[in-house]
Amino acid sequence: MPKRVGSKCESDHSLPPQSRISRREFLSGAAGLAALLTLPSAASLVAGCGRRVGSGSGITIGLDRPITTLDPAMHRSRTVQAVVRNIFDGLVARTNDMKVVPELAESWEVVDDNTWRFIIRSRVKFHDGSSLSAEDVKFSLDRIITPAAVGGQSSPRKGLLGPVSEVEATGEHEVVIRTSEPFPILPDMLTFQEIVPAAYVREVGDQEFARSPVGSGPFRFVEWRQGERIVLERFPDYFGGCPGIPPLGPAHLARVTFKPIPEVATRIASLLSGEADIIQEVPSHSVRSIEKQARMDVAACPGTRTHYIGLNCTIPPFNDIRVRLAANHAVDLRPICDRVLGGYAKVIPGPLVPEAFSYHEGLANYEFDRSKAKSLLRRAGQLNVRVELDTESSDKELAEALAAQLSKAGFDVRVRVWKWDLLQPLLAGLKRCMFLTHWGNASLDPTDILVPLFRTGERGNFTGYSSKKVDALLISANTTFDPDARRDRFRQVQEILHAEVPAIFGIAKQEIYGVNSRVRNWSPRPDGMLPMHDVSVS
Amino acid sequence: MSTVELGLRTEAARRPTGLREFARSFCRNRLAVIGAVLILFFIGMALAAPWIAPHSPTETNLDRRLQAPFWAPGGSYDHPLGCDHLGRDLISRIVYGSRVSILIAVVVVSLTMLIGLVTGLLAGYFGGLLDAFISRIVDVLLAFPFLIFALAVTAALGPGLVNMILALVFKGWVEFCRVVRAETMSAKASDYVLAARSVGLSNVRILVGEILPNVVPSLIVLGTFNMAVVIIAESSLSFLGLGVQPPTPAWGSMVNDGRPYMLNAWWISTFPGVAVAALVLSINLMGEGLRDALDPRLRD
Amino acid sequence: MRLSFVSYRLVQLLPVLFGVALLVFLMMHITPGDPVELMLGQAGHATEEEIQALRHEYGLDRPLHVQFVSFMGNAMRGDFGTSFVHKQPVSAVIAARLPATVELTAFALLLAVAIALPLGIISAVRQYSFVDKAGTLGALVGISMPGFWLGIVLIIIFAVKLHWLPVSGRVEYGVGLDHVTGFYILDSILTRNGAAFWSALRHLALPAITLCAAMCAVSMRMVRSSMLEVIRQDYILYARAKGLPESVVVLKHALKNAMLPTITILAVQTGLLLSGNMIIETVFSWPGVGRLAVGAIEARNYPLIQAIVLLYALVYTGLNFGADVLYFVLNPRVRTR
Repeated sequence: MPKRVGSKCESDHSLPPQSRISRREFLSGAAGLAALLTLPSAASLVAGCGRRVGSGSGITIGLDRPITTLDPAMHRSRTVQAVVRNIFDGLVARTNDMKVVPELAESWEVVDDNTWRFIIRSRVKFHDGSSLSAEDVKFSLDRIITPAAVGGQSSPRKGLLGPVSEVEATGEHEVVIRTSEPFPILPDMLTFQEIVPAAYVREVGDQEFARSPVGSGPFRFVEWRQGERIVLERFPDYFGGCPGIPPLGPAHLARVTFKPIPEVATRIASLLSGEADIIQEVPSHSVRSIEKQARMDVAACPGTRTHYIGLNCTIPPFNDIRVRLAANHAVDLRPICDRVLGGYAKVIPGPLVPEAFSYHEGLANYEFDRSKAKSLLRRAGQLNVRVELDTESSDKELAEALAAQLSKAGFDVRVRVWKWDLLQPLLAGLKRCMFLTHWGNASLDPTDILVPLFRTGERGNFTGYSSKKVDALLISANTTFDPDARRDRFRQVQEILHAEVPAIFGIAKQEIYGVNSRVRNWSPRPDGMLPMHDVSVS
Repeated sequence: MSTVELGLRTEAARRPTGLREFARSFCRNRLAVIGAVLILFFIGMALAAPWIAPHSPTETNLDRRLQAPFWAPGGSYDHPLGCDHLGRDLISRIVYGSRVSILIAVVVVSLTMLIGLVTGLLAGYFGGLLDAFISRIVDVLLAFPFLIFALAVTAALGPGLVNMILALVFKGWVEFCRVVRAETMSAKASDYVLAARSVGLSNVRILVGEILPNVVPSLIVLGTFNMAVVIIAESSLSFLGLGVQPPTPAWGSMVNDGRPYMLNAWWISTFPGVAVAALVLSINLMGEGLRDALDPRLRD
Repeated sequence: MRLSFVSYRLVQLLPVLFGVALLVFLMMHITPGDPVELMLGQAGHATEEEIQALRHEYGLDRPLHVQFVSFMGNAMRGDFGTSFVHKQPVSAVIAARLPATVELTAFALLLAVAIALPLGIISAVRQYSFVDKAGTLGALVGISMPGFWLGIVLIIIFAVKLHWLPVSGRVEYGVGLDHVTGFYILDSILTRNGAAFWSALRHLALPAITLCAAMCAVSMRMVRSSMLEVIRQDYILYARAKGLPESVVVLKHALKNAMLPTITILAVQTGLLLSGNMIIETVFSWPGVGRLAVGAIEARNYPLIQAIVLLYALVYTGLNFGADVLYFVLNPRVRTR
């Protein structure tokens, strides 16, 4: 379980001693049962026994983004997935440590480079009483990868399944997935998809399904007042849950309410007034006002998003590598993380966060050296060059702090604040020379960030960086199943990027949540998911 | 165009108020006088900003981030109203911010008044196709929700002070045009205009000599209220992410910048908000006084 | 003659709505920003084929004039397309949130009238008195504060510190409110659900007060000035001369005639209020159309924003039209055109 990280919170003082012990109890017990739980019969045995289910207990969660749909295939929002993951299950899931574990799938094997076989768990029920079978798995995946399969619309999640080309139900509980090219990270990417009931969706239609969903998850849908709240209630016939994430059985909580509250001050107010028990996205400067309250606290965990300053390698002045190096020497990210972000951030030397696969520990940020920066600029003939640092309004402070640093080291920087919808087309057109932006990597696999950001011509490549070597490495890393080979190739990419500095790296902000002390057995996750199955309230 | 305006002015326009009567009537309204004095105070603040402000409004200092006002723990007399999220002195930003806010108000209202005056006079006096054309444009722009219009304009042109002014002007002139047009039409039907036309005076002379003086009082009153609206609109627009660029201080943007800090650093939003409220209130008070003093029908 | 006036005004609505539709279409499509890229967000990986396929599904690869004609043709049949973000029909998305906005606006209007009417009357009858000045001052203070600032302050005072009122939402969970019209106050009355009624009222309080603060000033000013105008009329003098008590003179004769311009201005104000809704709804996380609009522009959700703007324009022109007809019908003196 991830500890609460961050210089502000040294001890786990939000939860009283009893719950800490009970969590440890569960963990040790679960470790012992882990071997047994690989058998489905044993799992269902454990599911029913010894679980105190509090009746009438409910929890409210304040979300930072609006919920647009409850159809797991028709959104591209992490917040929506956090909600629907309580209504639906996936073939595989992630533990709090981001390890991939089987959920609806019992096991899987790689048949050959382009074929995978998944054994589906039996005796799983949907909320309407029907049983889950391979047919439902095939239906769910088909509607994502097939164009125009959802009421004439294509699923925007297709790209997450990459080269998956065909799904076949080869038995009552067996599914074969074929890919058009080797896809070693298929299990990692399947954590982003959920299984829906084929019969129910066909019966009510896609539009109605999005408004009134039926799934196999620990909570079933009760009501959705659009824009206001989503209410779920415990599903008593839940199959028990992912064996890798104990405890098993139906959920503790009787009711879960999600309320989208995009306005920061209002969201924090709802925590302070007791209306919300957990809130997402607490800005670091508000931590103190939450901690001051007796019954409330803050919980943080490492995030999966990388903030960086992109430098456009195709236009002056940053098309000159000396100027790019100068920019890297001009910036000291440590005091910025401490002061502007309240210590709730980490400095990273490249585009990957430390929790990501193949993170390269051997690389370090360029040392902070103003005179070196100035001399590099002088040699490049760009001393006191005028540049605009673009940023979104949410990162205004960060940009101002960085601009101040750069301006003291031979640059003349002015900050320009944009809304993302205006900035994106400019960046995509490679028109801006210096920009503070970010990219998310929820799968923690380098493919999802190195490819869009640094492969030639990709959708997130705003720096215009292009290297045949990097392109080749990125392609070859994803055609082999050998994790060591993959790791080696991704490390090479990171080394090349470090040498060619298309950007100033980087900051990994922590995800900060506000929690009411009545919440038990919940901790924040780097992928932003909010599984409520194991959570209880005192 | 609405018959409401017409209905409100069914009586023939009377002789416009003379200057001495206006001054006497205005000064009798104490609230209006207070308003006028406050406005002069703010204008003085704006003009004397470099001499009054204790610090630079744009210099950041992360050590002083979120520093409280002097009476709260952590505050100092050096920064009496505290510092904002980047450590910039709040008093200095408020003082300099008066320049930007007043500038925006004056520029926007002057431009909208001018455009509205010209189009309204033309539409109201000449009628016909010109009137129909201008009236349709006015109707369309009036029906278009303001914030969405401003968002779209700024989205097309990019964020910044000039573009924000443009967005405000594009939408603002229609208000003036409508009123001027109604006034022009009712003045056109009055006895002495008919007389002037029968004598053979040229259109321009009639417009400038007879109709304009009747229109101007309403225009001034409307313009005064519009200044208040523009100042509030500036903060509304910055709420939606379209305002002045940092580090330029402008009261509306400052109120919005402090929004995420309302629970732990309330002063960042509140003091500029008080400044906005004070300026807008004084403009409104003076506007009320102006209207009462200028409108012949409301004179005792 | 009456019918021709009404139909003349009605016909004038159509080019206005067409103009609005054209304007919003042009503004949105000419503005830079790709709806597909914005929907996919700043994370993960998507191929060029995928992006093009989505653009084709949204109809964005057709020439602009084709898109516009298709949009207008469908709009006239009531089909406003599918929201890029919600993946649901635009009319369903708006219909789910419209009652919230209407209820909030109506409530704010009611509050504003309840405050502005008596204040305006007293201010007019006792011009330059203390009540006049205090009323003017108070109402003007309301309009002088940025709405979002007032909203957050009210939340902090009444919800966080005092715990008197809730922070967000429209009604508490658990009161079991059945859905009849979507207007919670009305629904709770129709289903005789007392708990739901009070819960809905408590949730409406803060946003409505914030919204009405701005309206109050304008309404009060309007009531005052139209009362002032009416009071000087001859028939008021006549009523006084007949010996009628002052209250009857004011309430029966003067008010009746002053209401007319007031109502018409209120109608216009309500139309304008829909615009101001966007900010209040965002601050209070009120599930209305205004909040929807802000997100729709940022996501370049063309079908949704076009429909919302047309809706606002329809309401505004409709209210104006209604006010004109009312004025025309009740005030026979104004029949010139």
